[in-house]
Amino acid sequence: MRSDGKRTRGQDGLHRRDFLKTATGGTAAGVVTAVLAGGTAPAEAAAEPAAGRSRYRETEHVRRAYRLARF
Amino acid sequence: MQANQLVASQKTGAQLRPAAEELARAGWYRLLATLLGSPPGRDVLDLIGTLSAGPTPLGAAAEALAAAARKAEPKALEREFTDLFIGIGEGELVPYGSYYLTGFLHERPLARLRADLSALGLARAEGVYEPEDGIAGLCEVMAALIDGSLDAPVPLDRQRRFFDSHLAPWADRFFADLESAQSANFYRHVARLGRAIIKLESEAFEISG
Repeated sequence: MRSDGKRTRGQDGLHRRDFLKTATGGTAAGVVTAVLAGGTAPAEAAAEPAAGRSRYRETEHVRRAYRLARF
Repeated sequence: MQANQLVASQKTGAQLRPAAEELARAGWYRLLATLLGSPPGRDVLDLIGTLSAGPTPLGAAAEALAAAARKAEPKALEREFTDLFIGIGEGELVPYGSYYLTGFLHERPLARLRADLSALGLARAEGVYEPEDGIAGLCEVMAALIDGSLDAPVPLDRQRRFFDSHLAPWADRFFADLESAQSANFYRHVARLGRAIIKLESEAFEISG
């Protein structure tokens, strides 16, 4: 905690994760949603969602610019 | 993303995988996108039927949806979906941001959304003719921003800007309408889950500042 009493960004991150964990109450959506998504990791993103095609696509030139500008 | 994670990725060049709690959010959005995009078939219904409950509003909503999924009949769901969202020219509900915010489709909210999607390097896929500001599409974008399924995961503040601009102004009202729609039966439970997710998202974004 900073001297002015405000939370640091690191502490907010932990607080948020605890909040999310608590609020979902352990509801096991993982398997369901993983199958719907056709994989949850970016590496598996090429796989089509089990439930249908995406409504969106990436635009090539912006994709390149975005990668360069990402951080 | 926090400052310390940012430094680590610059040093190693490695793509950081979002935390499990964040990926779970993507899952919830993807579930909504699936159900709101088209009526679920037997396979998807069986899957949803396995959702287990937790002692929270979101958990209770998920449990109710799972129970409804176990009883639901795909043919009846097709009719329900058509009555709700398609109809003859117009369903009971018009699940588009422009409509909820201005009373008309293809309005300024859609223009703003297209600009933001463009900045994110996203556009409508080939063969998709509905406007981008539909509830299912927006849920799909949120999922993609969180887990990087379309490009790369985006930082929390950017997710929040998208949520605040394109979902927060109308999503809860839409789900409330869906929950009380005359034609709604199974979709009442989808609506309840949708409201719980939107509420959770708003509250969680408040924490990240």
